[in-house]
Amino acid sequence: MTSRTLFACLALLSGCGDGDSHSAPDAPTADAPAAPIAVTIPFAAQFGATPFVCGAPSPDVGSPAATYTATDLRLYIYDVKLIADDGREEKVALDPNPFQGNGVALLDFENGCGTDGTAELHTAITGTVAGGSYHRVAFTLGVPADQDHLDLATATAPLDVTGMYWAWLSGYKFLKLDGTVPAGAGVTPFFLHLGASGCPGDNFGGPPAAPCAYPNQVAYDLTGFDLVSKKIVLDLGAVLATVDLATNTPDTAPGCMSEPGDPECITVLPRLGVNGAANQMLFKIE
Amino acid sequence: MRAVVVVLVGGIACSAAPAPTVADGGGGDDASTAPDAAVPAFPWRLPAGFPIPKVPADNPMTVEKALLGRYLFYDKRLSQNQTQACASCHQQALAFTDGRSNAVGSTGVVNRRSAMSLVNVAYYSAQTWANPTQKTLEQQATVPLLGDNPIELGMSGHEQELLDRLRAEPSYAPRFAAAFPAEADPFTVINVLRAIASFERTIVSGSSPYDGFANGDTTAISDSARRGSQLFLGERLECRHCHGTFAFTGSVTWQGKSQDDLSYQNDALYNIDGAGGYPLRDRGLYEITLAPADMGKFRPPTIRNIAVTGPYMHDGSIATLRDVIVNHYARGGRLVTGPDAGDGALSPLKGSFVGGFAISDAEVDDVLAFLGALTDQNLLIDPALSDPWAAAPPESP
Repeated sequence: MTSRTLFACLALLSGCGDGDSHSAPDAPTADAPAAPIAVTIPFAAQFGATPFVCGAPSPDVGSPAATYTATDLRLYIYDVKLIADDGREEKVALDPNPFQGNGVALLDFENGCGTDGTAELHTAITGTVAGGSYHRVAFTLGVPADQDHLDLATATAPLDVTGMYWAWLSGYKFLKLDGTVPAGAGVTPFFLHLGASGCPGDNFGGPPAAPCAYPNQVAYDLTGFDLVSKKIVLDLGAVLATVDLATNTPDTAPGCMSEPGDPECITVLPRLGVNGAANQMLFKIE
Repeated sequence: MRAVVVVLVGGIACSAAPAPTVADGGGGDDASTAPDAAVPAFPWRLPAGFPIPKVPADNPMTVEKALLGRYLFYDKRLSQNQTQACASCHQQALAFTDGRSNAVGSTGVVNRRSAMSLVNVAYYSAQTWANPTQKTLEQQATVPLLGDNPIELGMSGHEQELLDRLRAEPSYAPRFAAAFPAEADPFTVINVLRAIASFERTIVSGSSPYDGFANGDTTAISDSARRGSQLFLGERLECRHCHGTFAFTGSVTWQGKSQDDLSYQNDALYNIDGAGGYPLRDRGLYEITLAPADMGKFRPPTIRNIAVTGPYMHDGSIATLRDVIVNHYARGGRLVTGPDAGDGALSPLKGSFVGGFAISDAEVDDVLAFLGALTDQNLLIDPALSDPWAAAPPESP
């Protein structure tokens, strides 16, 4: 807000309104203050070249390569921003709808093919933002710490989705990827659940008493974006590229449930960017 | 946050001394409040010496709510495949446990832990074996209802289906309306949890033969049990430090109590690495806090009704109470062979009261007699806590 106001003042003083020669064709002519525009930020998910389809097998996932049949993919993001070519950061005001509220959006790629999902999908963020020329998009994977606590009595969309509750840690799963790989006559599950852990004290019904040891929230800043032709792709194949989906370490969670020492988490968590977004492989622009 | 000091004064049941710094980090969700003038005082059925439990301010006790909760507690519609109710793993005849080493969920998934007794849960400062974030029963109930690792009732994502099922049972409409009279549509998941929690708060056990003895009836227990009680309370065995108070566990609170006592202890059950490590499948409090010092810490459970709640320990890994005394506590920690091999007695993390002791066979018999005298036979058959569906078939519309 502050930077936006400041920019508007500067623009007025300098008369730079039509000097924005780098405007992309999709951007309105830069006037100050720029009128808000409606934006749609599409997301897609894939394993290598195979698009995510709930319940459909994807070949060549992990190492050694396995056929992974995903049955759930949902994630929370918040603090969605577009960064203008001049460096302005503009917050996207999310349209209120069943998947967007409380400043948080739930991206939902599953169609109810798994155990606790629903038929509805939500694969694009919609909202409004100050007009401008945008080629960067930023957002945070997770739920804001002051909202990352379960309260069934008061939770509203999209935080009232029990399939995303992380009941044993009294918070939310930020990202949930469920699925299986063949194992003999049956299947072996591989679940990837990202959420905050090591949170001190009583964080049920209120925020943690102190920051969590592992907040596991990741702020991404992606370049090469535009609002007309680009989408944000979840590259799930890259995240799982080095993990053996068929062999879970005995006595650990089936897959990776954010336990830092779980061998199935050791390569996966960094690829999500939890140790630094610079090394993330989850999101890319296409 | 966790403060635990149970100081023993004199020789009789310990008093929970005020701990120096108990920060109740909560947002007032467990506040002990003066009774709301609009809500009639709840007719608790409390044994002599039992204080009034704390009740969350947003879920005051009413007779109607507790009764609704009793119906829900025994209703298999609460599991997604309608094969299990809360009562499946918490059976009255076994002091609300299931007799298994490891609980089994509605889809057949075996839980890594043993189902805990629900007696006197109204008094616990935190619920479950090792989760300080679960301060109230309402919160705890989300785990069996919605949890997916392991699946217990398996209702995650199916809450609308659950509410539709409950609406379809004609007897529920008046019961929900009576329990939540101010709400236009009382069929909500949180109200289901609130009602179940209210019922659970009525599961109070304090009428064992030992209670009779403690209240002055010198004939209520055998001489052997009396000798056993002295051993249990004495400084050689040190049992009472963790299993003290009227609840026979230290992690309790009640209305008017200034601080919630809450204690987690490493019981020296495992020592897989010489450093006090517990098996990966269950490392207790450490999994919540990720603090190395919390490895293998669990909340000492009540030992009321312990004779009917085996197998024992958090993972049901000891079959009998005699084994618990002789092969675990007397040697100051268990010696494990096989996949989880290690000598708990050598654990650097073990609790300071698990030091081991010498005990004769006759003394073991005495302790066992004492523990048996903690079985509250009335609780096991109390009609007010039994399956109401069995007593009265569903009312017709």
